[in-house]
Amino acid sequence: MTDIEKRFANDGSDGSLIERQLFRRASVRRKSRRCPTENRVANLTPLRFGRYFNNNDSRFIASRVLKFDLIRNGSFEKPAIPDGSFQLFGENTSFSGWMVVGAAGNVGIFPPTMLKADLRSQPAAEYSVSTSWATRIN
Amino acid sequence: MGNTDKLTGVEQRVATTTGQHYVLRFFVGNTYDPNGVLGTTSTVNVLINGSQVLSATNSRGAGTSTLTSRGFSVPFTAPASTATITFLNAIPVATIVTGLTPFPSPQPLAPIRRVIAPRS
Repeated sequence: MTDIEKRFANDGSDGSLIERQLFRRASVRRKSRRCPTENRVANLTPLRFGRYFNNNDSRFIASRVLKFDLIRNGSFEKPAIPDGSFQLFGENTSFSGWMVVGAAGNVGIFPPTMLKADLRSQPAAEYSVSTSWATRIN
Repeated sequence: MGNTDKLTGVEQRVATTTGQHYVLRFFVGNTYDPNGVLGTTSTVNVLINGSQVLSATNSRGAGTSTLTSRGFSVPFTAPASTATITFLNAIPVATIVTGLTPFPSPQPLAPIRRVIAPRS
């Protein structure tokens, strides 16, 4: 056992191994699970990794979350919009998984660079401003 | 959403498992611009399968001139193998929305991004 600890203490490979196992498993069984441990994925982990990885490990949770991104283009990352510009989509048009619906009008997709911009506008000025970013909380 | 200040929005149909519990999480962005076109509050109506489940308002941008986000979550049980999720701009506010990821509950929060647009 002492040799095993030395071998795996610092190489950081245990996480990637688990992720491969998860995805391989997912290709066979893609049915959603209410509980992260319901697939008993931990049981797939070799015993020698058991001390490094359990059902409450954040890396394990993160891997599971990746599978449950059910909405396509949920961050409106597509289409990619160049800095300083935007793109409008009118009703009954679609873009990257989304359909524009509701009253006659449009929706706008904007680049992430506007997030920290000063968003105050001038009265009667006619323009559009927006932003996008990605955040992950595990 | 957009620059027309209308009840316009976006929707998407997602695959679900009938009877499965889900949590839809998203953010609404807000700017405080009482003298300009951006307005002061931001509201998005959220519909699942055509029924409104939430009117999400963010007015936390007061005192700032940059985007301020507020997160929301809507639990729901999938009635069928698909669910149509709709986000509609709620006038008279303008700045909106979001990035979202529904996932079976309980789960930690997932990736989010944002798109907003002021009214003209």
